[in-house]
Amino acid sequence: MNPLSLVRHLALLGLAYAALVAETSVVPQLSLGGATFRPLWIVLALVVVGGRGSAIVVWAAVLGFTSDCLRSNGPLGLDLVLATVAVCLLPSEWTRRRIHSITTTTLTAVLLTAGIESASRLVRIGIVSPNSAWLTDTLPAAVTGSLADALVSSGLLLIVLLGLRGLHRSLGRMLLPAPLST
Amino acid sequence: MRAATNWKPPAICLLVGLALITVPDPIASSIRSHVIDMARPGQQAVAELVDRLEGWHPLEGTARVADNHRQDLEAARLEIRRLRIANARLVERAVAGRTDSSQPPLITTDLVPARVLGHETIAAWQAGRILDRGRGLPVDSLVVEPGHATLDLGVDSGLARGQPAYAGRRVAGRISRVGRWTSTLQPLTDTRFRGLARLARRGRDRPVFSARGMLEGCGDGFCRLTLVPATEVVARYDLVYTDGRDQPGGWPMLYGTVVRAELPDGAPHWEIRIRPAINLDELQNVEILTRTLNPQRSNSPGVLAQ
Repeated sequence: MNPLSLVRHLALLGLAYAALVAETSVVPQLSLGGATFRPLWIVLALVVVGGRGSAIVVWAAVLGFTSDCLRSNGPLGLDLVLATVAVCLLPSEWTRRRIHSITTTTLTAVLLTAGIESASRLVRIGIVSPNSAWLTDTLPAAVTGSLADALVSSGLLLIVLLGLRGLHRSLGRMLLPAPLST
Repeated sequence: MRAATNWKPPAICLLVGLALITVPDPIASSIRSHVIDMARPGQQAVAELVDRLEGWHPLEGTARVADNHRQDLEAARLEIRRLRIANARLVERAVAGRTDSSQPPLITTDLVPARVLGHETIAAWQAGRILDRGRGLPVDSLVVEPGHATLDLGVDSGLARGQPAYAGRRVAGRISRVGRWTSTLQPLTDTRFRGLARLARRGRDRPVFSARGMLEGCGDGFCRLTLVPATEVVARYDLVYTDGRDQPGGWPMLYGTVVRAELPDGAPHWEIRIRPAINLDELQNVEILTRTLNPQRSNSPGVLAQ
């Protein structure tokens, strides 16, 4: 394995653990107008734009399994399956090579969070209260809530990425040699 | 994804997921608990970080210096208190040594407790309705003065005109007329009342005395303190104590509190209004200071007799 790739995976592992800690300590105390910040799917979006090939699928499974463990109801492997399917359904251009676009990263976060969350909620509600009209009853609320979560999460990700890019540019300017004046 | 070659990882992940879905609830709960337990070190780190951020202060160095100064100040206060206590003990010892002279004091003082007669009792006495069992309780033996309280002690108990009367450590007035069994109390607010007085500020453990003056009754429930020079410092809520050497127990008694202090332009003395420390309307018991010749001294032969 490429040493740089190993470092990258270690960094992703650290991010995943930070997301787990944030989900269990910081997120419950945040009040974002009814929406929930989902750091795990942010990390999954970063995995998608920063990783390549089958590693993305494995990371999706790991993060999905972690999300499963954080939920108190429903089957254990549901988010694992949904996250795996979600990354497989993403455009191959996004998963084949690394992406440095902030827009794509944010869009990936929106799609992953909204897709996984809405599907997970629908299935969990259907398991808890199975009736014939569960899909029509719960679909609007589930999609709306998941979209709100996705927008909040990706919005925070966008702010962080823009801040990092600004910092990176500032540091780059500082490190460049000053031009000689004539 | 590269389609054909990379189908294995998703398939394996899906199989694992499907296997996990079929896991029974107790095992699923156990797995969930273990995963959440893994987050505990991170949660503790976050809690410590939050505590540090809450306790962090940009002027921590200055605060530490201020804390050291505060400790020094506290130590100095304790030292001052210790010295004050030591000083008080030395003063007591000196006073005791001064009073423990070879000869007993010539005059001894005593506080005689007396009760204030109520209006109904006085009216009954004046109407002759008090049963005296033939001992003779004439109406004219009752001493009454308008505006003065009547006490149930008289000449029989050693009371004499001019003796000061106290209620606790507060001045009530002095005896103005004395009968056989009763006497009247001239309150300190009476216009004819005069007494040496001394101003004092409230100290930490004892009053700090300052200017001397003359306390006079105003007749309206208040007193005034006169003859306090304009050069003295007088403030509201200063205390006014008795002055002079003949204090019972060596301690001054409280007249009252300064409620107004004015210094007119060019005036040589302050105009000070005093609210009495005692409520004369609710006075029920007083103690009269009596002075008698010490029998130990009167029985011993004098110097001239030797």
